[in-house]
Amino acid sequence: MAWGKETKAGFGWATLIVALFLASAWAMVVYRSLLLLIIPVVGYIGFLAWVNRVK
Amino acid sequence: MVEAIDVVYISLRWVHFFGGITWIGILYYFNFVQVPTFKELDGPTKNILIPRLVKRALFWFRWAAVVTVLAGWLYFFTRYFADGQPANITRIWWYVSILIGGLIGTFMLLNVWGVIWPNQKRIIAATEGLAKGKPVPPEMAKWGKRALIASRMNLALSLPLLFFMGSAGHLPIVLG
Repeated sequence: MAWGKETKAGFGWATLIVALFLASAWAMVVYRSLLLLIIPVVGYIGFLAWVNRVK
Repeated sequence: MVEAIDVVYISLRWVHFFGGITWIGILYYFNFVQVPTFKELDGPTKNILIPRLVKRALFWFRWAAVVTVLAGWLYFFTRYFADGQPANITRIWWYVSILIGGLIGTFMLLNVWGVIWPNQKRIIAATEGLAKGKPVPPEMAKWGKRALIASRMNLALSLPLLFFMGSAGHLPIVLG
């Protein structure tokens, strides 16, 4: 599998989303609120906005 | 004695596993087999394969994704409402772990239906049009890039997804 631009972009976004999940899991434990799951959701919306602008 | 709810759990888990193996299996086929193979093929060969092989693979891929995620969420909420509030840290971790895995899987489903399939559908239509003498649309390369980025993202996300799903019942025991 070649590490082309698309592979790097896909893996980069996946890493960011997982990092946001871990941050939200930590915040959920500290602040005891499920609403903090909004953090990775916002990150994913950012991906959708970005990918639909790729030329 | 087997209770009715256990039959429901087993059925939902079976459907979830069947759908998940089909979905992620085809995802790995796309990423590890089809994409590198297509790079070696010439245009006319790809034009034969896209409306046949790729179209068929995408049918099973996208619907298996729907079945997997629906069965998964149905199992999660059935279990949550039947069990009530988790009583100890092992059960709490099970819910957190499955919840994170389930949300990652839901993002992957959105990638399938929101990015991969819409772009691949355009590529298939353009390839079918080519056989009828229509010109290749200039946006074709852009559609392919968008679908590939989302497919690579799903490939990467499948690893933490499998970790959180697979470790849900085991990690608290491993960590003591």
